[in-house]
Amino acid sequence: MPHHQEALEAKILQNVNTVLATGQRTTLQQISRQADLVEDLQFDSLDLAELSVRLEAEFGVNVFVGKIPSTVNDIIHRLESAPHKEF
Amino acid sequence: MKSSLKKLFFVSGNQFSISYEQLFKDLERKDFHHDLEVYSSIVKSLRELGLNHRTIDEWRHDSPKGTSGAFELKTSGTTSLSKTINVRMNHLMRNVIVTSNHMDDVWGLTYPVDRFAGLQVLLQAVSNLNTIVDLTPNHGIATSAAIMDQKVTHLSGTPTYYRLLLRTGEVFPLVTQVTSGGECLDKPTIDLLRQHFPNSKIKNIFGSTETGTLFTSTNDEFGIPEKLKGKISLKDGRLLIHHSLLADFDAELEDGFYFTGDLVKIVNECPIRFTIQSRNANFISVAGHKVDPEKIERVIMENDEIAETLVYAIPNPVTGNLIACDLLKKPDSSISIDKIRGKLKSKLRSHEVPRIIKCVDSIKQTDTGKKVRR
Repeated sequence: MPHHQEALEAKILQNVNTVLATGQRTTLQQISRQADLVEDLQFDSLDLAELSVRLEAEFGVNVFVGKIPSTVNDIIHRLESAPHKEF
Repeated sequence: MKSSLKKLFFVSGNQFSISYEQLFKDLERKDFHHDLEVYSSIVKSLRELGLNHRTIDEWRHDSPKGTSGAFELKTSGTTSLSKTINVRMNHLMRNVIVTSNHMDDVWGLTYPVDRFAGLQVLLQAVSNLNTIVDLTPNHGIATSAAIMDQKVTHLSGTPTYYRLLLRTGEVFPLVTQVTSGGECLDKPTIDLLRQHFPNSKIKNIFGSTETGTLFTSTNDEFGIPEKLKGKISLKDGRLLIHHSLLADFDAELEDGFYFTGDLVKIVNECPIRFTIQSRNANFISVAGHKVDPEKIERVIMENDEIAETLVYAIPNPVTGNLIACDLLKKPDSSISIDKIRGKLKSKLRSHEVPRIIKCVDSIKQTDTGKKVRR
């Protein structure tokens, strides 16, 4: 996996864990790129909203605009394809 | 009355179905009890409206006259500001259509049935003896599967509900009508609905518990229907409606008109077209719930270690807004954000609890000492 993808994954994991901690749930040591935000992480609409806000603060782009991403992979792809953004 | 083989399906958890015959029996039973919460709520709501086998049959063959039932509804405002409204049957039935064209509709229920929008779906479906598929709560993949498997044709939900549902990427060719309400329906969400419901009419409804359904549209702009002319006023960017259109509650009136709290922008003068800029100006809309920031501030300020706080909204594409707050702690305070959040959770509803909490050094004030609201 390219180095920048590993860095992205780590930042996403950090933000996912912040959301989990908000809900007093157990945080994760690692996250699978295939992890579904709702099915696997059990995120509800408020969790997704919080994640979208935190990722926007981190990366300067809201990847939840239009269609809500299903998986961590979706988030990474959208961040990578965001115009004029380098992560 | 023959109720055909149609059933009410409940798909949250295990698949479960109940026939209309059983529903009508349960409406008559004094000792009715059912472990399935959504079914209990349906029976409770229909009984509260005084409905039974006979009255529903009357609707199907005649206009809904003689239905004198009423329903006591709470608006979705916060505890301190919500209103109890006595909604009459004719108010609830204003938009219910009973025709043979609707006999094969299959309704997806996304709202609780003790709320105005849920009651509307319930009455429309029950009046036509339609299958009702429970789609609460919204589980994404499982909900998509239920819509496909049960061949749902009609959906009514908030934009937030749809955005969550459609994140799975599923396309629903069998759905022929999608109704959106409760929140502002923006253009990106309309595009999303068109993409995922390719054979569906998109209906954007504007209404509230206080007013019932007022306007419908296929996009984000509304016009004033002929029957409402003279009863709607768009004054200074505010939406006011004539008291004759209101449900029973203690409304504050301005020259016979009631300010709904909604702000509008006129996009065309003749014929008049307008968009809704924000719903309920004093509130923050979070996933269709009206949240009063000042109430949350009051709860936060119950903590002795907090000097000042500002509660505000952060817009986001999932729930429309998310509640956030800035905290100014007293100099000697050592209280943690987690502890504050824990206290708030015990006193507020989940969508009211600030998700983003920041400790700040100052909270900006106006010249007259009022907090600067974002």
